[in-house]
Amino acid sequence: MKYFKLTVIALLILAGFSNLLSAAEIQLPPYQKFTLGNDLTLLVMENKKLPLVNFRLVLKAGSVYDPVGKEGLANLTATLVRKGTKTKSFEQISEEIEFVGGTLSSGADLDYAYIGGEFLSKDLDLGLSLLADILLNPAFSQEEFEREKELTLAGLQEEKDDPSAIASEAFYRFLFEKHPYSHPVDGTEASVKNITREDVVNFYKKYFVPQFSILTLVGDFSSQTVKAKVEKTLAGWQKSSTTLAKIPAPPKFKGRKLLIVEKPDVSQTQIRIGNVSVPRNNPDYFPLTVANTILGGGFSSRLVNEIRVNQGLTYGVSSRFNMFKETGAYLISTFTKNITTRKTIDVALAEVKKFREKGVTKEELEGAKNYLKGLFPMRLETPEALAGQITNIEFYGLDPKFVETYMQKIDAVTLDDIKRVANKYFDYQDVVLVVVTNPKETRKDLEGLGKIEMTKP
Amino acid sequence: MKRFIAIAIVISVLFFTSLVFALELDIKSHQLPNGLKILILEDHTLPICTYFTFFKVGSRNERPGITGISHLFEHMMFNGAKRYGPKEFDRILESNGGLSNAYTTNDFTAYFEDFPSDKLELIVDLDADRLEHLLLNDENLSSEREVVKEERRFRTDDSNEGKLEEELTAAAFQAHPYGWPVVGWMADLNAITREDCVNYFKTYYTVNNATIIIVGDVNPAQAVKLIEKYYGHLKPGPPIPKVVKNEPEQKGERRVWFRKEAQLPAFMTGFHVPDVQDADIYALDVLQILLTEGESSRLYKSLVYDKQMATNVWSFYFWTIDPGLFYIYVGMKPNFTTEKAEKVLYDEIEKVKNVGVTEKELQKAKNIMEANLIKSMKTNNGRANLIGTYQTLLGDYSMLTKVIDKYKAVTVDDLKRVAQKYFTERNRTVATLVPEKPGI
Repeated sequence: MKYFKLTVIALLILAGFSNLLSAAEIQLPPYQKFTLGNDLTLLVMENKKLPLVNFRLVLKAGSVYDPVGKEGLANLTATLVRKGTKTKSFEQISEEIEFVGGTLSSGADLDYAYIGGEFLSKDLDLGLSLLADILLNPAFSQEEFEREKELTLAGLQEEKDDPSAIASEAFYRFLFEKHPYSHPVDGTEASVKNITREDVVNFYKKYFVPQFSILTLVGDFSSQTVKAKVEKTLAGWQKSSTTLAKIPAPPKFKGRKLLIVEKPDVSQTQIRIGNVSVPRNNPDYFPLTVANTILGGGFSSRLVNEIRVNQGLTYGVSSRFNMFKETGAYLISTFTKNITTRKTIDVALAEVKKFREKGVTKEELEGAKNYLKGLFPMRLETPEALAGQITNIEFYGLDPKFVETYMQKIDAVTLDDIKRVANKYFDYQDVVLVVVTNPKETRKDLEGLGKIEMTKP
Repeated sequence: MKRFIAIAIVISVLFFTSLVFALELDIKSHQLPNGLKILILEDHTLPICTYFTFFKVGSRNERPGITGISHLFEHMMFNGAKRYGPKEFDRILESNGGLSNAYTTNDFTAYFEDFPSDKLELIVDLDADRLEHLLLNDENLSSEREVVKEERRFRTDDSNEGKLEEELTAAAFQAHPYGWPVVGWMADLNAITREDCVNYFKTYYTVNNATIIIVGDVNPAQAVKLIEKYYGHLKPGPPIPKVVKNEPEQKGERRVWFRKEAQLPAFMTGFHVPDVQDADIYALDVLQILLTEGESSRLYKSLVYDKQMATNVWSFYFWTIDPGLFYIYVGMKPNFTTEKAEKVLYDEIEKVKNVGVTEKELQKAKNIMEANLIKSMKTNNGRANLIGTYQTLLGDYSMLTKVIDKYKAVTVDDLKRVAQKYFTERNRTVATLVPEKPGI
């Protein structure tokens, strides 16, 4: 017996040791951070596994800066830089990139605009010179402006046939109301029609500036050489006196409200439930992530288990925290055939209630931690994943040792932490709900969930 | 998500080609006496691994009345076995830091786990358990059936593109199983019985119909030992029932329309193309790139950029065990008819047939393929998936080493000839989405 006990202890020590080892192995490959003369932040990481270079330039020129009534301007501006420069047409640019099998794309998200691409390392010079050209010398020709605007409008019209896209867009609009985070990145049909070429030029001048921007390169090159090349190709990029308006954090929604988006042809109802939540740099990031894994992440989460596995009500259900720079959204997404819409909503809300009131088991907590720790190395597998990690650390102001301390911070989450964050962040009484549905089949059932508003896509 | 979708595979098959070439991938091959094939590729960069199991069974092995059973079965494989009971598979896997998914195509069904490399034995155990002892009862079947019906509503019934593809495919094939959707017809999903599932399982889920691929931080000798331990005692199954290449030659254009509440019209056209054993598959891959990959591709330039008729255009073509289809999709902008866009599309195809493409364009297509190929080597999962796809479709993963030369050998004349041979009016099926006004 004694012998047995000792063996167990020895095994535990060994197990602990091997955990430490594997945790210690998770390190970002070394990278360097420079601040260039124009205050551009440059992040450079050598990665020789494949003969590729991945780069991304992130500018604080996202759709949160869209003027009221001209929503979609940030995205249109970022998209248009790629559509021709003072010396090269859109077709020439596409031809040059695609001839070498490279990619170069630009666009916007809520918090930022980006120009990103990937080239074989032998084509690094070409990649950098194209990046510099579209960044510094976009033509914004009237012709390309009209073409892109038309295409955006057609795309917005097309989206009205996609129940899932309608639901997600309606959710943010309904949740954030008039706040800058409320509107879709690509705008609305009405707002895009309002945008002029002058708006684009002015937005570009104001926001496409180096002092708020981060350029990240990961790939098969020498850091010193790349730094010198970047300094040379982006030499003409001058910093400006622009200051950025502070985006206030919106308050949480109190009470219940339900938006019914009428789409009479659907056989299935898209459902979104949630509330305003926290930004990416929130100190509760780790307990929140672990807690959410238990409720609605992965295939063994409580929501999947109850709504999909036990009741066969859906093909997909998840909960997540979309964390932006200044705020965030807590969001449960699922879909079900029209006639089981109310049932699915009730089951989802009941699961959240149970989660808050009864907490989780130790086994669930350990399982979720292992899941997150086990998958983490895969988030460092590709050049773009690495570029994403180091850009995020910089952009959101995270702990520079985010990657190195990830395992230990996940490990440190306790049952008490889960209880605390469950009650603080996982709402079921104060929520906004959005359904995209055929009201003929569902309207009656939806009574009593909250104050109802009706709309069309 | 447990799912089926063909597009990801298309690209992979296309670009894996010179992988062995570029990195000199050292794939270790082994076969157990019971017929189970094992392919292993080491990569010790990170302490992680991918474990794939490919079964050579898909919707082509089905029959009317049970369409969709391959995909439904893919879902059933997660519902419990003997050592790991109901709801245990994902729970055990995920609480050990792993993640799992699967997909079904016309030709095969593939399952994978990504996991920390020290969990390999657990993974082998989990997968062997469900292959030997899968639980198939009325309770889990009836619940999973509902999940799959939700998937069908999501991907097909409430999706314009999903419906177009289904309508087109059903019209293009008169005899061959490729005519029905991988997800299955709704009424068949309702009709599939437990007995159908049991028969299907016994017939197709056998060691001799499977290939295991491991890529990542793995010791090949140890891995083979583990697989022997858990799979070695399994008996080979009966020979797989033959599927007849029974599709008659198409001798005239076929057209279908379907009406649906929609904002904008769209159409999809499909041309019959040969099976994976035909030498023309390489030229067809190159043509696919040349027509729609990137903003300088022929159809994007013409339909979206120059004429500004379409919001988007894409094509997909993937290797198939029996003769399949080459699909082209065009989504219209407001105020343009599909008739107009069809004419532009066919004119572009005529140019490839009559004038031919330029040497530079051909070179560009080959360069794109090469770059995409390197990109496809980024993850363990990507590589394992490709090795399995090659082995399952061609019956020989080592074709990977030879296939790059096939692409290099494609000429402007080959493209002309192949376009002339397959992209003809008589070999064409067109499905058109006719928008109806919303009626409440």
